[in-house]
Amino acid sequence: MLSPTRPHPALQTLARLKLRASVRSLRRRLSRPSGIFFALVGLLVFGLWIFSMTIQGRASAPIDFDPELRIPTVCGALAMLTIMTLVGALSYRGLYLPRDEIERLLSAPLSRAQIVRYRLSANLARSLFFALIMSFLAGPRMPVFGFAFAGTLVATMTLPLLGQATSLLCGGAENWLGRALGRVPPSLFRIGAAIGAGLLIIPLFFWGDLAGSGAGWSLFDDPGRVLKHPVFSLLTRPFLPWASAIAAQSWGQFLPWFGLSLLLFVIFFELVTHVRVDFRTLSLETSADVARRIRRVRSGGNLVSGARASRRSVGWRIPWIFGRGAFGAVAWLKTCTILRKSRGTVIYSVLVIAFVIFLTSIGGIRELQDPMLGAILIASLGTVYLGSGLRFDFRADLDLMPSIKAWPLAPWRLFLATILPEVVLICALVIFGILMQAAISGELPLATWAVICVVPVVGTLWIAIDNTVFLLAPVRFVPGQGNTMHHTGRAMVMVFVRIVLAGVLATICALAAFGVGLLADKAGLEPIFRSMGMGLVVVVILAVVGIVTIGVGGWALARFDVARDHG
Amino acid sequence: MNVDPPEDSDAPEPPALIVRGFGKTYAAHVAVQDLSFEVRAGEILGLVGPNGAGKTTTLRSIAGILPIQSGRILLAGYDVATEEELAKAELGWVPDDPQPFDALTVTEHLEFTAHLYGVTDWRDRAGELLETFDLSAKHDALGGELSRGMRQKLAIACAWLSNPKVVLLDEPLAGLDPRGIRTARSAIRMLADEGVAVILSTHLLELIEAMADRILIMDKGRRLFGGTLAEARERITAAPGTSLEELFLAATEGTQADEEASAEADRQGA
Repeated sequence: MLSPTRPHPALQTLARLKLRASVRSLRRRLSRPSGIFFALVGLLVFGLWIFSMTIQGRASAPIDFDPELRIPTVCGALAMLTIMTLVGALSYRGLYLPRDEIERLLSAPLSRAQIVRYRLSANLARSLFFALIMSFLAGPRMPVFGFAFAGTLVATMTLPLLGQATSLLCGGAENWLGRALGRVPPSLFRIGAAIGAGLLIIPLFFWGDLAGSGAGWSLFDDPGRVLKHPVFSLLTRPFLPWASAIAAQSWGQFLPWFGLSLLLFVIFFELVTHVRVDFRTLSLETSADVARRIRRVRSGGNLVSGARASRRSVGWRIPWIFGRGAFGAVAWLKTCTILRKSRGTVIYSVLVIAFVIFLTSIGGIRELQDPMLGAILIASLGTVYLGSGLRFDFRADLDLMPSIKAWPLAPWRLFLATILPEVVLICALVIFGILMQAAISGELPLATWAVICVVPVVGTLWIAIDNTVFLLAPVRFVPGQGNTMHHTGRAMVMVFVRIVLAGVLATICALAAFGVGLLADKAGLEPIFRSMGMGLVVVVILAVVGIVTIGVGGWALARFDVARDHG
Repeated sequence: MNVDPPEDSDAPEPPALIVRGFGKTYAAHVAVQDLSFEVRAGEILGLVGPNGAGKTTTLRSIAGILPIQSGRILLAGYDVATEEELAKAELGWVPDDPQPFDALTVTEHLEFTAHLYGVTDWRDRAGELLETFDLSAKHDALGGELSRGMRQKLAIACAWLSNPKVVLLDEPLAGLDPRGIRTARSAIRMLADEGVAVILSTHLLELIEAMADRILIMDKGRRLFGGTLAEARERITAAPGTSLEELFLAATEGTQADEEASAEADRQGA
């Protein structure tokens, strides 16, 4: 007989104190003018997004929906969300407990059901934000806003319960398999889930071919045909109570289904708290794994630069390509880091370069297939995306700053030595991309060479600006760790400032080039010399700005205060 | 309580490190105020104080990691504020929680340090240091693979490699096993014997008692006492044989602790 677990008073107190701590943290941030400003900007951006989605929903729906397809469509959407939740749940083997809780809670006189109930409640509280967004998005697209809002809220709040049940049950299966087979690779269930999700999703795109009709129709060619298909109906039938509540048109339709959804929520909650799995070992591993990921993000590293260094190249002699002194030593250190974390670098670079080459050649927009425009697009998009992904600079070294600042090197030289290997890498990749595009199009005009000449200057400038901004306003932001509005606001302001600066710089370059062009016309120079003069003045201006930025970066490094909390 | 002894001014050589009127403030919080002391070549200064006393702030400012807000710091004759690079080149710094580079091996850390500080012919010395700190077997381990103790040993070895004139050690024995502690202690003594000025900041008072030539007690950012252990006994408790722990408690906990320490010292004397 399933009896509800009583929440433990100590865990209730812990939840209350943690809530109070997050309010305190928010108040502390809002006590500073900059905190209020960034939070307001973040709130504004978020509010505008929700508002625009709601307006868009009101403008387009529910007219677009065939009433017969409404429930199958919602069932399909819920099925997709469920698949995503289940796949995501396998990242947390067993029960995830944060690092500050796990040792205390597992050693405390608490039943496992009480611990699961506590974590489940915490997860639901965290999920409320996402559930509200989903409800705001679904509401205007359904016949009755209120019904759709309430139904979506309950449905999306039920998803974390399914996710937790999956983590626990797979944890139990892993324990059992571990005992039976000796050792189970931790990624086994994740790989299995990814394959399973693929098997479920792929038929939607190749439905007709798989059905043997040969017509090649898919979800996008004929959504109605897929949504009405008996197999689809059968697979998505479990979502009927929630879908019916969301798509209800009257109280008579809504109340029974909504009541059932609520009842299922309560039953699932109690079932999950009573799953009999010894999750302790898995939870300890999960907690350590998540703590490692959080530490990596907090130190500024991302998936590429924060990856574990590979041992494979340990025996190699990494060349000292930037000299042997203190400057060369810092650049060599960065070269070692790039080469030893090359797997992520290669994968990320190939994806970015392939994407921009695709845009400008085979599958792209016709206008962009012009060699000059294509080269400019590859140079700009490549620099921006590679610069944001390949962070082998100060952005990945926040935890090392106390050591870095003690090095006997002038700040501007230290700044330059740190960014130089990354700049060389990014420029090499961008130039490779431009040459590949030229090879595909079969054209390599003078204009493309001009773009190639500008790439190192722009690359240095871009990475220098990124690092200067980071040193002036360093942020340790971990998604899901609070203060989202504040950080969204800060990010938006930074993007805005960068766009304004880039605009000013572009205007100055354009005016200078225009001026040189006029002078060349007056002097009666050949068009080739006119173009060269215009290009040269742009390069000179960018180079001067780049040198100034490196100086400013050095100044920012010198004033960087390691004692400040960069949260 | 402020019981500073007069500074010794008849030494033949100028001190390797001179700190005069140093102060540091974070927002409204005064971390260190009007701190003055000096360390001579070959001398070990034990820096002690309760948590939040300003020890790490002081060491970080000497190392040029934090900007100097007030006062003056001369390291090997170079002003840390105005001749930063020259001063840093004469310094060995071991932070309380050393973070090695996860993509460099142990040997490569030493190679990097050698080039950073312009040390030529570093290989033999690096080999000796690896032997001294029991790191030979780990010479090709990546920084990210090292345990806390190994990281600590590597940081000390890197600080030793550049032949510095001043070495700052912030909790150098944290995470070390008994063998590592013995190695580190003898290495610190060896450094001082070679004429290096050492500042040793630790909560292990018996280590300070055994190794330091002079002690500097700080609390709430202020200097409470600076001098030899004998002078501390004389000035703080007036009881010979008082342990540094009792002296520390007496200096930082006020009159009551002072009296308890005196009573304990009397009882021991009796």
